[in-house]
Amino acid sequence: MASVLRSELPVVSDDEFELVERARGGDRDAAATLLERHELSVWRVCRHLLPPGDDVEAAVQETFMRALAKLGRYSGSGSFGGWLTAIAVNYCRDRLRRVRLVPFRPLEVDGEDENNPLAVLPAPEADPERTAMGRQAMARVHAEVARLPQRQREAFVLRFFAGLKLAGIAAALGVDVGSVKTHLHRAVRRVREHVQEAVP
Amino acid sequence: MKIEHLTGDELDLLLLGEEVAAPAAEHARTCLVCRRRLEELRRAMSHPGRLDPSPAARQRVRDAALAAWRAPQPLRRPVWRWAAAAALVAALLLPLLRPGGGGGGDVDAAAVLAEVDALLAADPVSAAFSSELVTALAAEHEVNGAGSTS
Repeated sequence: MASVLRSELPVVSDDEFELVERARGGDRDAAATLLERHELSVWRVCRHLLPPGDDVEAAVQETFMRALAKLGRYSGSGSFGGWLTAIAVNYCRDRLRRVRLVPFRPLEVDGEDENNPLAVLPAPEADPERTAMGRQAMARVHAEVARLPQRQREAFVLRFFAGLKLAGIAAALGVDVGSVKTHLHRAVRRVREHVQEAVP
Repeated sequence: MKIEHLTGDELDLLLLGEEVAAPAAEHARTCLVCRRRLEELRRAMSHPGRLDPSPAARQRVRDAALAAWRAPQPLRRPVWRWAAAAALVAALLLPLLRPGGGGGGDVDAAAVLAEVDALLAADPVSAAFSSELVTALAAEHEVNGAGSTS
């Protein structure tokens, strides 16, 4: 499955640990490889956790710069992807606090506008009706995720969009695994129910 | 016979990759309706690739971060700078701190410190290890040291 990300690795691999060591020594190629491996998770986290209208590209760059500056503090006890994602989450939280946008503005659900990022197209299917329903379901998921309480939204995004496992999510959010499960269950129930209302 | 499809809670558990009771797991495996529903929910909750950045955007951001990164240097210059400053100050002030060392009246501490600042600003490392400076300081030290003991 294409959406499986390397950040699902539970612990840092030998290869990755070597890359981290080389990057700490100033090896730019090693640093670039590390960023490239996990950048998709960071992009997705920033896209879904930043306040609406915030610059995702700037957020990703700032996350990378913070990570590179703090490479010496990475202990290697968890996955590098999880550590990097945690930096992204913290950046997004900072932005939320600064712009004081407490309620998340729900994104548009309907519409075929090319500029609408939610005008997503699932894999082509023979049945146009099912394609349309799939598109609607996906749009509803994104709209409902944007409306979730912050902790639930963070857990959902890290699990389903960034591909982290429970331990990685717990580390990234600074909570225990039990709390992650609670947030995830509540988030999934709410999102599923919202989708099933529209696409029974 | 009424068919019991998966409940909402069971669907949630399966979406989260968790275990469900054996009958529910068996139903999820064999019931076409529930399998399709689960698959549609999974697909809806996965991140659509269309929302991901282009490879060009990804590379641009990565390159920008790396360009701004000041990679660690093998020799950390600030440490040498501080070591050089400490050595130089100690060498220059030692005569003044000895009993009677400052009684000669011919050493101006403010002038010495100004000289240290100037030397460090110009080139701290070579200033600290300049043979001429060390020689001059040693001679100065001899003079003051001799004066204090006589």
